[in-house]
Amino acid sequence: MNPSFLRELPNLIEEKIIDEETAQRIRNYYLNKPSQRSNILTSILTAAGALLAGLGIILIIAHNWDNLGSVTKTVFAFLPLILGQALCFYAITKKKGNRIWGEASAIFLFCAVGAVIALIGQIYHIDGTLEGFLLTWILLTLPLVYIVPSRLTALLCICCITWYASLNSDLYRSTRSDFWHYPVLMVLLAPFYYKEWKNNSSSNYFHFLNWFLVISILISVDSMSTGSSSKFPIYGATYLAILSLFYWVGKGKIWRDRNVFTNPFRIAGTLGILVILLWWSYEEIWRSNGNLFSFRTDTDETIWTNFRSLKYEALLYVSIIAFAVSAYLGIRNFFSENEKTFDPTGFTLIIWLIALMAGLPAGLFLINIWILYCGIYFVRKGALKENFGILNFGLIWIAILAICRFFDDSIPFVVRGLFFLLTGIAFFAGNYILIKSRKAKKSSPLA
Amino acid sequence: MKILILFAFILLVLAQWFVPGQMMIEKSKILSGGRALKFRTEPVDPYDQFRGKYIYLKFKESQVTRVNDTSNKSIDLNKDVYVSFKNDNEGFAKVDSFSNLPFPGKIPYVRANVYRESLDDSAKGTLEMLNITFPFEKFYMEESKAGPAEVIYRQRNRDSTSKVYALVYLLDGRAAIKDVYVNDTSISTLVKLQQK
Repeated sequence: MNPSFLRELPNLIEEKIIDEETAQRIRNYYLNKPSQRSNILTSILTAAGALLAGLGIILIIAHNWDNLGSVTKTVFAFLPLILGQALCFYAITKKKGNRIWGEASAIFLFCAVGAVIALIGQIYHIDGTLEGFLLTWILLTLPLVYIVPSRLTALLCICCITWYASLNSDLYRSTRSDFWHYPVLMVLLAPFYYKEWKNNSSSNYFHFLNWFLVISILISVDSMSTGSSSKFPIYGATYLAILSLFYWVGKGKIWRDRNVFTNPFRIAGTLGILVILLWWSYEEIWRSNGNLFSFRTDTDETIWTNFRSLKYEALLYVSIIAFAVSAYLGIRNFFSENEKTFDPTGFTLIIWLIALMAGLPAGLFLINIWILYCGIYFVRKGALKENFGILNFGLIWIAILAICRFFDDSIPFVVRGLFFLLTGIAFFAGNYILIKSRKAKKSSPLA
Repeated sequence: MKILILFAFILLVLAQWFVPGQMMIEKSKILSGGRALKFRTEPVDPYDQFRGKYIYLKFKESQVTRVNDTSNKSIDLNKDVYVSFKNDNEGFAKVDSFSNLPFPGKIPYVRANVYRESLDDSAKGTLEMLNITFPFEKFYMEESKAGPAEVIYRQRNRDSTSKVYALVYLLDGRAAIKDVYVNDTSISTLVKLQQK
């Protein structure tokens, strides 16, 4: 039911835009259409209810009632598990296709499994690690995503996998053998993601799933390191490679005509690349990290010795794969879209590596010019497409660069002043010209 | 298709029972067939306040200083490390030796995380301090009792006349904590007496 729209109907009839018959047909259509909104609300409320009930039971039993013997405590610990399994069984056999039943029972069982492992650990004083607990929990509940099937359990699993990965992100450990856990656990969810992408790519849930995925990957990059190279800024390279991949995925067909907030890949890719570029546009960062990797270094630690130590670093291969795929997507995008200018943003990694090898001051200069160039690209694209959003995004990008350089003592006042002046003029002129050209098109009878 | 899903679900249910069940069986196996050792405890860091539902145990044997001779160098601390024990004159457990392989026969030992804290060059050889994290450092209690128990634990550990120790059973490198005692009285009994 869409009451605000239906309220307009008498006005439309009065203005003779539609006739009474059409108005009635519209009313009937909305009257008979099943309301999607209330359905979504019921699902969310049921899921929240199941989650709260599950957590409540965990807390009550976790009190570890001392008066009860360990056998009684054990029986109580297993009760939520039995209840959750019974509910899931009922949902699978009797309520097949009922999303609310499936989601609520799966979430409850998800909580119950976590509870029973933790409680048995407590009752019997089993001193396990949090990592071990999370891994067991994930492996025992992830199949619910496919069996029940439950989409919300998939989100909970992504949260737990990210938590697990973040515990493994210990930069100080010299060697790490569990670097492959995160990608393998995420691959277990890949068939589910593929199915959602094929069948429900326009649903709200799919957008949520993508946001979870993007945030999870960005948090878990650390955990995929084998830890054998601490000095080479491999993290910078890996992040840039993954962000480039996000950037090109976000430019894909599926997201083209949609609201920008439903496209986490594009948002994370663009902002992430901008943040890394701005970070490396400061001289202090170069003084503390950058020069170590330049060819012109006085120490033995040249870029090649660092590269040699890198062959045992899993992140190197993660970056190579991510960047190879992203370069393929970027080049394909250029040819298939018939774009007039080559989009530089997604290729920032190459420039960053060249800048690192060049060292100070050439590398620093290159990074600054690159930020300016990316900004100009967006301005030009916005002007060509007559899109205020893209145009102003490019201008904001340039303005941020100007603000960052405002506090830079090494640049003369006059140069900084001129840069600011030009950015300001560009804001006015760009928007003004675009408005004018739009108006001219509207008034022209041929348009 | 439906039968396949049901079959998968039943497998999952069994796995969800098996894991906690296995934890319980393992624990009771260690308690019934394992060798009991008493581990002397130490006061915990006073700033490490009440932890909620368990008392954190710190053992005297968690830190071992020893001469790092050539045979000790062969232990790779990045791999699994096994620690074996013997009893001292008073009947408390004492670290005997380290190995990357499980100990044979009836020697009581446990798998633990070990790292080197410091190395000190002296005339006799190189002294090294090894920090051991035992897999039995938490003793869970009811939440209303864990707080007072931790206070008792801390006070009695500072008092040199009391002997505070944890009774731990060891079997094939695995450990199960039975109880924490102050002068042979269970800590939960002490809490109950205090709360009366």
